[in-house]
Amino acid sequence: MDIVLSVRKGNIDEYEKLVVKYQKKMLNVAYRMIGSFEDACEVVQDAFLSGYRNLDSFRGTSKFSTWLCSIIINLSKNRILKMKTESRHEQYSLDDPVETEDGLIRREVAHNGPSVVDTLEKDELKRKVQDCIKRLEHESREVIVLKDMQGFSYGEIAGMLKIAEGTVKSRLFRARDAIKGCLKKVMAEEL
Amino acid sequence: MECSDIREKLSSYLDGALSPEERSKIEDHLKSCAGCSAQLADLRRTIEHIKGLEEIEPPAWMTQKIMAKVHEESQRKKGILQRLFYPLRIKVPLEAVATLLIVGLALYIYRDINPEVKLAKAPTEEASPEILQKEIIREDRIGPIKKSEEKNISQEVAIAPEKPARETTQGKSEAKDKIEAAAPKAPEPQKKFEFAYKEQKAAPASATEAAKSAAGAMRQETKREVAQAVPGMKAAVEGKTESMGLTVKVRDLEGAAKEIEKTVAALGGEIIERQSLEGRKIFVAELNSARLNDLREKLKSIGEVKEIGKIKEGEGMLKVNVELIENR
Repeated sequence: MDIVLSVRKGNIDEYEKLVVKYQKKMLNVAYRMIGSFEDACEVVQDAFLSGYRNLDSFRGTSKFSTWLCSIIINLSKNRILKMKTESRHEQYSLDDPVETEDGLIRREVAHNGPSVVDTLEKDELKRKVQDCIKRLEHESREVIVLKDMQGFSYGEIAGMLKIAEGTVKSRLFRARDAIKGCLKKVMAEEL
Repeated sequence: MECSDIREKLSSYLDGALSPEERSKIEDHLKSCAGCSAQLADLRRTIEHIKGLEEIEPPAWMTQKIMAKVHEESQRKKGILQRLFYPLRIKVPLEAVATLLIVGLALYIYRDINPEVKLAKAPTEEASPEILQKEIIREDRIGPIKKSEEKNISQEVAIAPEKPARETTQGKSEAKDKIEAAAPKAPEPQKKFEFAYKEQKAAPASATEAAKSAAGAMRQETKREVAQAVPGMKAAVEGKTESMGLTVKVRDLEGAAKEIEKTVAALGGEIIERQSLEGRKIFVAELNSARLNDLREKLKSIGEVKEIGKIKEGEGMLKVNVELIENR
């Protein structure tokens, strides 16, 4: 908050400290939300600039990173919509076939056996996890990125997304369950 | 609790976001349910995989690029602020002086122009129905003819009105004949004629020109007829109306105004224009020049009289501008 106050007084160079401190976190949120590194970089730049412009509206009731992250989330949403409009991307669904380098993975009945996820190679698994996150609906993806990847609390996420904590919990359950199901599909194909 | 209820809460259970009661219920269920335990294990691994995703690093240029944009924004903001408010030490006094100058200039212009504007507007804005009627009659009487023609009109009106056809003849000598012939029949107008004739001599060129114009003669005839129809106007048509100005300083403006109205009426004249301005009233009275002295004397009894312009004493109607000024 001291840095924010200093910037408000006109010490613009102080803002650089905030940029250095939070740019990585913000870039990761944007990247996991959008899925494109270049677009994520642009969104982060826009978000920091928007943060500077609207610094007077930051009341300090939440952390600066939380406040900035809500800007990132909004800008990412807008970017995704823009990208969809431009490229007319199809909406992804968990029921759709999963596209891999080897081709489309057909829908499989989920394997009920224990610890099947362990069989996937580590790097390959990461790529699959990322693909599964990418295929989530936007609302589910938001909570996964904010909770499991960035470690924000339920309360912080509720504040950022302006929803109730109960809604955050239920969305998170659906999102995790969807990724679990997605990973099982991938695993069944490889088996 | 059934398995479906338990599985819905496993996500929150792993985050430690459940109440102790719910937590113990789930733990009891998990001890006896292999399926839910497997679900929990899968969910735990899924979350671990998600958390295990490596973070990406921002490019090296990111900070500089953001700060460049921020500085640019700051300059833009400053630019607007500077244009509007800075430097206050110079700008505020300058603006104050400029404002004072503008106000002073506006007051000066207002004082200088305002009375003229009012005077210019007054006749059209404040004309009473009487005045308007008078104007219309005058328009009919005089029409769009020239002054030189007007002289001829007055001349011919003075001549026997019962012989209009002859009046349309041209030439100065003919006109003279007509005058002489008309003289015994209309002794009173003869005097008027002589006056008009003198004027005609003073401006022979215009008189001759008018006399030569048949169209002009026709118009003259029309004017004469109008003058006959309105006897009161005859004098006005016969002689050129003189005008002069009298300024009267009075204490009671309204009372003096009423007094003027009465006086002019008593002297056989008429107020043809009235104008009210702040602290003064202007009347244009039309009366016989022979009654001018009476008017002058009467005005002296109302207030301090000052005469503007010299009055050409003579016959005919006289237009007198009487200005009443409140003497505070």
